[in-house]
Amino acid sequence: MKEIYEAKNYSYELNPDMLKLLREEFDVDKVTSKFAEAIKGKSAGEIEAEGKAIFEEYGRNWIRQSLKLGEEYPDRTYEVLLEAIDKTGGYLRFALAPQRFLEIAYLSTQEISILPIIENNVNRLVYRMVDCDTYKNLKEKCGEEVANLLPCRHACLTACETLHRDLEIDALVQMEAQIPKDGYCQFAARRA
Amino acid sequence: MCWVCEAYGDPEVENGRWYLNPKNHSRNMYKIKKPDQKAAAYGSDPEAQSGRNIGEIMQFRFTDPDKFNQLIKEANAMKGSGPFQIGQVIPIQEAYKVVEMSYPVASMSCICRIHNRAQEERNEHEYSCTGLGVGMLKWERWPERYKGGVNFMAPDEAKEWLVKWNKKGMVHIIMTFGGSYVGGVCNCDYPDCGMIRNRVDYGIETGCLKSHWVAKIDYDLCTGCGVCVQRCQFGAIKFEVTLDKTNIDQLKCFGCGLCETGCPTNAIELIDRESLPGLREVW
Amino acid sequence: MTAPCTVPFDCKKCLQACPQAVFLVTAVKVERGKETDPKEPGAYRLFAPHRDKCTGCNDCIELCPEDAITINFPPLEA
Ligand code: SF4
Ligand code: SF4
Ligand code: SF4
Repeated sequence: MKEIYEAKNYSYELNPDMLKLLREEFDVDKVTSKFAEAIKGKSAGEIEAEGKAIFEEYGRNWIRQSLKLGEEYPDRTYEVLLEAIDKTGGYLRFALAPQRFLEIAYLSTQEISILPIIENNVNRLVYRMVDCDTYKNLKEKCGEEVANLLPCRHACLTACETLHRDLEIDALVQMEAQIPKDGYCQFAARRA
Repeated sequence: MCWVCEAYGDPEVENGRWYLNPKNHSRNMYKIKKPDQKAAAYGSDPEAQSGRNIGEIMQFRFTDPDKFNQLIKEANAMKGSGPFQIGQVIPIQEAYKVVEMSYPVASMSCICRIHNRAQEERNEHEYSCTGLGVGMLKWERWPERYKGGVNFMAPDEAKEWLVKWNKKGMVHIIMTFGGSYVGGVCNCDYPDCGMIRNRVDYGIETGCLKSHWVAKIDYDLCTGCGVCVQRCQFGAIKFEVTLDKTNIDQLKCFGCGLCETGCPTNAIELIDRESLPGLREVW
Repeated sequence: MTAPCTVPFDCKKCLQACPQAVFLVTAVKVERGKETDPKEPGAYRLFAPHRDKCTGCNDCIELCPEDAITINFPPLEA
């Protein structure tokens, strides 16, 4: 029979210093201003191209930094997740390992207290952004019309794709809902 | 229709079964606390609370039966939003689907048996309950509820584990923890499982709803061996002396499938509860 | 039933012997990061929520080292 559990005081939440570092580097205010500056006087086609370039790069760096800092600042939840994966086999890293880094990325840059996870099972990882600050910023700075083109989707999609690629998980990433039409954006990664 | 499926099922996913809907298995891992918000030093223990509540309701059973019935009615009307969680019996075939889909799956000690029999299960050879989902990663927050810790299992291991308890005669009950969030597949028996007991003895249905199935016996195949009579936790099976075979009362049957998995001649089949007009509203 | 019974989770005689499974034991406080010590007096509390099922067999009373349990049945009506 095991002894009584020795009292421990772990932290199960994300490290606030890590969140602060990410927030400073990947401020949505900054990237949306950069985009607003870049599209001044441009045609619709050019706006789409600018958006793709700016937000794809932003998304890639944002998630890579989240991955890097996420590893540098572990928490007890992550440590136990790694134990579980170790015990049950690496195939089952999906969906919780990528989920953790997505939560880091979104919780650090958006004014939300949780990232709504719609599905996280061995086949699919689906999450939702309801009250998106990036979208709100775009609306303010570039007007509703440009915001509704969702140039920012390139950031979310690239982030999600890069994340799975960097973690060496074969997954197909799709956008299942868009704020202008559905009231929220929804992204889904399905095991390929 | 089963009210939990109506509220939390998706007609396009797994026949609308709420506990096979991935949404009810999904949860975030992290939460950003407000700057002045501190982690609570003390937690609540829902199973213990429901046991104490039953004690409080029970005191009226003989002194004030009307009040007793009223309190039971109220508890059922809360549909899981009150002190009694939502739970539903599932046959092992559906429990397989659950452990294939959910992650992580871990064995752990049974909370009801801790409370009702002071029975400690302190390692993976003794554990008899199955925890599901991200909450398992944080078990160390409340070691009092997870005595001995948790033991993570791969899907195949989890299925073998379910078979082990099924063989011993345990009913599988899918349990929620907060709304429709599925947090475990319990392996239950009477009387040490609080959910079965609350339903069978006091009529609290929420925590132990009947499954979507019901057992049906094929008299041509039944040899009257009586194995199923032993395995039924709900007293639904009797030996019918004149026929020299057993008899299942489908109105009493919870559809756990224990008789089906035990029958040596495969004389028992689980059929869809909703295919029988007399049972489709019996949950 | 509570006064002299101080360590029900450690003693657990009545809990395990009762043929009717009448009793329930719970930790008084569920503390973060800490398991309750069953030997600490008063840390756990014993209840009898299913006392409607008691048959009056007296097994628990005979086993209880603290004489902490009493059972009351209404007298037979004359
Ligand atoms: S009759 Fe069979 S399926 Fe029905 S409750 Fe009893 S053991 Fe379970
Ligand atoms: S276990 Fe099967 S063969 Fe045996 S009595 Fe039950 S139904 Fe009949
Ligand atoms: S007297 Fe009642 S409570 Fe005590 S062991 Fe017997 S049935 Fe249980």
